[in-house]
Amino acid sequence: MSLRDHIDALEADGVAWPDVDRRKATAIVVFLVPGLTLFGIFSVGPIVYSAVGSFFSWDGFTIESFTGLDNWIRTFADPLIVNWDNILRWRFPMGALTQNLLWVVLHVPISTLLGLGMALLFVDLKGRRILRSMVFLGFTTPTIIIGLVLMFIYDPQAGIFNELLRVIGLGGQVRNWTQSPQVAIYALIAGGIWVQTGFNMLLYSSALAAIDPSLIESAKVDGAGRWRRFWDITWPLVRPVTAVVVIMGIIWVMRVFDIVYAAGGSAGGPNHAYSVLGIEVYRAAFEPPIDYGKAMVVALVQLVIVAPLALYIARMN
Amino acid sequence: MADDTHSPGEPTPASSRETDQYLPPDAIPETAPRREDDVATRLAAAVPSMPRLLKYAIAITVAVLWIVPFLGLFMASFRPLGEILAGWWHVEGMTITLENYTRAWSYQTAPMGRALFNTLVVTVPAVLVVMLLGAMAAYPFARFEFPLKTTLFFLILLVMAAPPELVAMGNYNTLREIGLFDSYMGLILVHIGWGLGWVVLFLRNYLLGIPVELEEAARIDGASRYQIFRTIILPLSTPALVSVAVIQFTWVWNAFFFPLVFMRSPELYLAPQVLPLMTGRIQVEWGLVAAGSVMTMAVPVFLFLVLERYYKQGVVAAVTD
Amino acid sequence: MTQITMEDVSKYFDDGETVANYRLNLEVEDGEFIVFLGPSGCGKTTALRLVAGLEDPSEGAIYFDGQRVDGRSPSDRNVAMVFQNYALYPHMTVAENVAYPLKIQGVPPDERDRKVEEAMSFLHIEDQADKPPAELSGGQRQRVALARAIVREPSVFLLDEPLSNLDAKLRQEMRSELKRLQDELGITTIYVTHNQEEAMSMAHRVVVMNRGTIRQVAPPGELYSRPRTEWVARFIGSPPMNLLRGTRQNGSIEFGEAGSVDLRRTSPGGLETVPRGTVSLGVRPEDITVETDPPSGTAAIEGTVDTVEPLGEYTIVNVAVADQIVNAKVSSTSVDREDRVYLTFDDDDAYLYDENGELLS
Repeated sequence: MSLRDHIDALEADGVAWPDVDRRKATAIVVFLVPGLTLFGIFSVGPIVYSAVGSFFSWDGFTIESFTGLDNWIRTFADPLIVNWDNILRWRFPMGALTQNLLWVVLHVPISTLLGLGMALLFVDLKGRRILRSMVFLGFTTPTIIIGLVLMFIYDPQAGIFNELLRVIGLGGQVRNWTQSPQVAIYALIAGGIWVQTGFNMLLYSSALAAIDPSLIESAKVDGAGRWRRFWDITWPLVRPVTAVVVIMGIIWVMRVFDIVYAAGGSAGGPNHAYSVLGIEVYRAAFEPPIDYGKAMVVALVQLVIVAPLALYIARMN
Repeated sequence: MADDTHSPGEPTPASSRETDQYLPPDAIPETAPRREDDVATRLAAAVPSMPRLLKYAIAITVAVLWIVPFLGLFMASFRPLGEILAGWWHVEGMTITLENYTRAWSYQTAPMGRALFNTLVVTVPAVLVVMLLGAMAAYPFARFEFPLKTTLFFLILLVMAAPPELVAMGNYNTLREIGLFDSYMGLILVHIGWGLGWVVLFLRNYLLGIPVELEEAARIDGASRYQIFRTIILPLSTPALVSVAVIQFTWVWNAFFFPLVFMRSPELYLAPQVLPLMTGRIQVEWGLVAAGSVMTMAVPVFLFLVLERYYKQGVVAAVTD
Repeated sequence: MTQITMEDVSKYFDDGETVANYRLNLEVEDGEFIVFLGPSGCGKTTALRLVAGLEDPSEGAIYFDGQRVDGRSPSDRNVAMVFQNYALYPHMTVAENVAYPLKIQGVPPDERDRKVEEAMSFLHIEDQADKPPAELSGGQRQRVALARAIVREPSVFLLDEPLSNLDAKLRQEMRSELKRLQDELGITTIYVTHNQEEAMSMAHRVVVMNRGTIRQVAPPGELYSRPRTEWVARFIGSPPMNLLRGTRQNGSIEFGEAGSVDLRRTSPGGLETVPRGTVSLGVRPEDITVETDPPSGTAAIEGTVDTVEPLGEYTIVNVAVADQIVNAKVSSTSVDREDRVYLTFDDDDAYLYDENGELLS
């Protein structure tokens, strides 16, 4: 390349600054547009649609007129969502929202503790990869199958759970657990815990693996016993993961649908005894009588409960 | 010397210690010398201590307990209904049959064979397109500043928090509008739109870890942005893309709600959709359900076992980053 | 205070596939500053961890003041340890970190605060008391780790490459500080490093290790002046000792065309102790004189100047002798590349090693 060429190239570059900027802008657009279009049409759009639609009256699938908070008030007054009478008497059905929150209250803490416990149990064992994979297996399985497996376990004849009861002398308790209105929800929550524990264990395991081993050794040299080492070193260092575990648990539970559908169909069990919000959305939106307004409100309630938590996780990082 | 302050097993005179102190280099063995211990001592040394043994016992019990339900499902899938109802855990005089599988494969309402094919037809494009478009969109998110970036970020987080039910109504109407309701394409599009959010966020976080210098070097070598993306970014993101592929595949394959809403013709049913139909009216056909379930879950479970590392890393990174 | 004895201590990993330490025998006197020196992977850190109780010996015994301690947990040994990466607890402040060992021992809060303050002011970190470790510089972290170690008044002080993460200037500073600390407290100290300068400047005695075993135990001066093997000779000193391979002939060592050295010069013990065959002659670079004229009277080794590296303080002349390169460290020189030169040295500065690399004396 001659000197002349160099200078030419430099000049060309000099005047090309806006050109470079434009080219960069074009590149950004080319990279972003295809993905964002589909994301906009099939994810953001429908959410906005639901948010707006929840303030309108609907005729089947067709939007009609603005009705303010009508759908919202109607939905919260609906005993299928919150059944105050039954809540006060602690009888199922208590409404999908109440039942969904009961899931949160039981499922999340128990699966978190079990996950942590198992992560700690497996942490220094040979073959821990296999053990972890065994516990995690349920999380990779389609949740509809989890629901069917639960029905199978709880079956009065073929179910191993009832067999277990018979073996330990509680034969009187044998029943079809998923179809007994007053206990079915607990049986299903146990199933949810069974699946989620694997996921929580995975998160805790990776948090434990990230702890610098010399910290533990240092505590050992400092004279800390097993128990102290856990409370003073390990636990404070895995505590941040607990927030993630708990919030992911809540998100998972607020979305729970397949398990309940498998056990109780679109009604959410006999007399809606263990229906959850997702089930109510499905029935309101896609089974006659169609009530799009209510479906949208319920789905938004699901979002409103978890959105701040998701933002909290995002903030944390 | 300090010898008089302690009483070791065989006190060595200081003088002989001086000459013995240093081993000649060839005295150092490559591996531990075989010990002269008798079998019992060696065995005792090889067996872990009691508390540790107990720990193993608990760990294995727990892990086995965790897969007992699947074990039952697996056993049931090979046995006639009568034996299942008597309890799959009774193994004496067990009859092994493939009848459940053949019946499920050609199940009259919606044959599993067809349903599995449908599932594959929906899953593969939904995964590949999400990977490509997701990687493309993640690149500017990781590298450039552009207007509305924060807003888009917020929207992605919002969608990730949203339940699938929330987008069902809007998508139902959209697909009817554009005539893609109850079609492969419609379901694929819904899955792509739904998966893009987390994929973009996930890949963006990964791309942030790739040194910018590599791209700068490529630019100095004269590569365009598109060439950089194709020849630098994509190859370097392979591990993350594999993670995306496994997780997205599992999600789409396992999805039940979206097919339930958007696939209405029995010949278009996806495998997870068919399974609850098999439970029947009066007596649940456990063998049939089990065989169908095993066939359906075999694919994601196999994928998980093969790509376990990517799956686990991906799941952890997706939720903690 | 504590005196440590290691007796035939071996440590194997991977079911005996890896030998980390093999038959270590060592006495550490009460209040002594001992340095384990060796290249990476030589087993020095494992040896330290055996003393700490973080590992149990596969064979052999360890005694603290005559009490057998192997098999006891670290907390029963009253040792303090500073880790290579300092191992500061990231979720505790500096003061909490320093207080942690006392908290575990159940020292009452008043006394704890007093001792923590004392340790922190001893190491000049009292201003950092409320900061988390992440906000500290490398040197400050180092001091916190030291404060945490001394606060409990341990009987043994173990340091695992504590200066390796610091820059050169800070390393120098901390080196003298550590030495002052050890002098003042008089705690038996074992210090692991791969840096010979650190070892030579701080230790009462240096334990040179290689391939999992002890090569030589000696005070720094002796280690320099009487390296027991070729390997040690090469490991100590910068640049390392020259080792010229030659053949022992009648009464002298022949270096082929480079000349020969009269044997009587280097082995006062008499000719009988030097076996026939291949031997190595060791001379430190700083003990070699480079001359351009053949010296009269004494035998000299002949060579050609390969390169000259003037380093200001001194100059290193690399001389090709037969097919080997000899380094000479001289204060100044006028020689140039390709010059023919003669290397001479004092009788006392020369060492002879046999075929196995053992010092002949």
